Amino acid sequence: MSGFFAILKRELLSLWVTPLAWVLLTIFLFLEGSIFNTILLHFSAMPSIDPDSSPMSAFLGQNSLLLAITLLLICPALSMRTFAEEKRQKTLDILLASPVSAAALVLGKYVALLLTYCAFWLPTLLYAWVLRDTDIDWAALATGYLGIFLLGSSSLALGVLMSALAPSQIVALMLASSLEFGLFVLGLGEYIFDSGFGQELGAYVSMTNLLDEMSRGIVDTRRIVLHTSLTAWALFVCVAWIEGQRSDA
Amino acid sequence: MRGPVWTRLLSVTESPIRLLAVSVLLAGIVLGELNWLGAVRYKRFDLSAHGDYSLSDATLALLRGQKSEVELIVTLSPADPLFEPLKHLIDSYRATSPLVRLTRIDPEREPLALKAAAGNSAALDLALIARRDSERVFVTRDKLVRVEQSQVRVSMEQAISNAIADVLADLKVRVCFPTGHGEPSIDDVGKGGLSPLADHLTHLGYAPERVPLDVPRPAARLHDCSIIVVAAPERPYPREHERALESALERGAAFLVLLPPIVSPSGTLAPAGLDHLLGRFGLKLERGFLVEEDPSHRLPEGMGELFFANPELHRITDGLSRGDERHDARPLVVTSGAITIIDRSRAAPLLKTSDKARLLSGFGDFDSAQATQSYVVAAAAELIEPTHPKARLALFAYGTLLDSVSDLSLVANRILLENSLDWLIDRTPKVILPPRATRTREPYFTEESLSAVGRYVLFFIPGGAAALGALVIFLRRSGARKAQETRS
Repeated sequence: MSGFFAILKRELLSLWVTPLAWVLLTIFLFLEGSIFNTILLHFSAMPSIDPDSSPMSAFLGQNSLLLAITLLLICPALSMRTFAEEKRQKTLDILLASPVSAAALVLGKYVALLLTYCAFWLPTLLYAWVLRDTDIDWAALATGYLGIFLLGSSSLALGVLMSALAPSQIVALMLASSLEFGLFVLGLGEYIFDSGFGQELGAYVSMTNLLDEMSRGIVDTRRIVLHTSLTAWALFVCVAWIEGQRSDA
Repeated sequence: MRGPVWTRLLSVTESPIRLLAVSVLLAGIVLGELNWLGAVRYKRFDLSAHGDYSLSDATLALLRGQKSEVELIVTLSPADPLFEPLKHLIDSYRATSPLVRLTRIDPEREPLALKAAAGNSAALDLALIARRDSERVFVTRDKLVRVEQSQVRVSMEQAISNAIADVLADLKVRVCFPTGHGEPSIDDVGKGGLSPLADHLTHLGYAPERVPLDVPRPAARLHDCSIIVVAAPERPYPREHERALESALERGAAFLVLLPPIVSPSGTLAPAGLDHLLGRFGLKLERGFLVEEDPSHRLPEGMGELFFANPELHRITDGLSRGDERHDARPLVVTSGAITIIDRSRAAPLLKTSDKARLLSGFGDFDSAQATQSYVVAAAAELIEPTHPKARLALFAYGTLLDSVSDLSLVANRILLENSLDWLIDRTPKVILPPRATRTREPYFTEESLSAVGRYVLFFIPGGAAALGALVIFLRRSGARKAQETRS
């Protein structure tokens, strides 16, 4: 894992001193603010009969397709440049020739993205602060953010893999978006099939299910296994690809 | 001992690219297996403050003792606010017992499937069906969550566990409907028939049965009836039939008596012929019919014979509104007589009129009307001299309860009907769970604070991020410029 911290620092700097991360962050916070504001307006006009529903839990996943769609866009946009940018600037060969292990290279880039993703979500904690006088279930809030983290970690890992495989940033963005949209649609199978394998599979991979459960304070080991294994597999393949590139070089 | 397969596998490892491809494939297989195992054997942890998705000990004991498979069919639309919490709670059941299966029927997308699963009760506000082979138990929405003013009372686990316990139980309670006095029949599927009611009772764990009393030795026909329903007769009971009911009473039968005023062929009001039976419970049915004059209780049409009654505190009225809490949940009464409770009786009023009701001795006979006062239109009673501890009677001086299953607007009467049957046989839930905390259901913000929050989350937070970004990039560029100047 030699060179992990060097790569991490380099990636964080390259993300946060260029306008890309800040522009994405501003758009992201505006979108999330719009969703939150709409939810608040809805709750003020018509309190929900759903016993667990509160503005924060609705924001973090309950019946909020908007959130899943935002994640489908934001994660590929963050991860698209990871390796594709190196290829465009022809710096990948230099990296491959450096004494940095493939695992450190992939993990360094991935962790930098994950930290950036967490930093994106950090300001949304202010929404909970806005609602501090209402009856907030803080444990459910924590699990809600855990759900966001799990979904983000697997989406970013797939995005990093697509960035490694794709020849350019835009192709990486499209591939990662298509893959995640495919998973999202597969999850909708839960509502299309009434029972049986299709319904079980849909329920298993469903992003909305993950967010909805977590926002209610439910932690299901199936979701943790799925997203952790998806992350591990994507990163493993990415490391294998780097090793392949290195051996070719 | 190297076979050709091993040779081929080893030759693969000689090429790094192939080795990587094989390892990626193997990793995929291992993780796929891991996911399959994780999907089959999983755990759910409920960390929420209210613990709504944690199963109580009573439910866990029920599930551990479960021997046969129970299918839980959710019949709510996915857009229903109760759909997701119900689904997640059922997932907790499935995580505990592999013998609980989940199926869904979207009532909007699959009305025929719902009709096939629920029969005539499909028109009800069904939320869940528990099915074991041909046995089915229905759970309506009001059993899952009750909203009383700003309070939400959650009883989902109680409702699901009871449905599972009921569908697993083999014994059904025999409910007899005596006929021969112009009562609507439980076999009649036409308008006004009681077939939907009979279907609904079947799915609540009862066995409804039509019992003609105009036969020799009618008392023998009522043998083994746990509950006898006198379903709004149009003709008075002869004394012999009343004796048959009394002999069933001696054996411990309970009675649900619905007695709207009976009009004789001459147009006058006739006695119901059940005075002896009612007298043993300390109740007396006045000959007359009620007219409600309070505009907040009566409906605008008619002369006041259609009105909403006020529920009194009793197990039978549990779940209905009281006083001015919620007007829409008060039971609608159509053409009712009045009940008098004798002083020494062990009876309690269930429903009352306002204190501006009159008792008329004939239809439109306002001259004979007594002064306005509050009248009892439904009462629950036990025997004055208990000869059998189980004998109970619920008397309603109107018959609207019979239509409550086929008419969704009569939900309060349906609750009364179901609660009455439960109380008559003292049916306590098979699974008793500790009560859940109620939630307050109130608006969060005023209009002013909403616009302030809107400004905050839409402009200040994203604007702050943009300003910070601009500052960082400006500092970075000015730093780079200075460094370049220093170098030059």
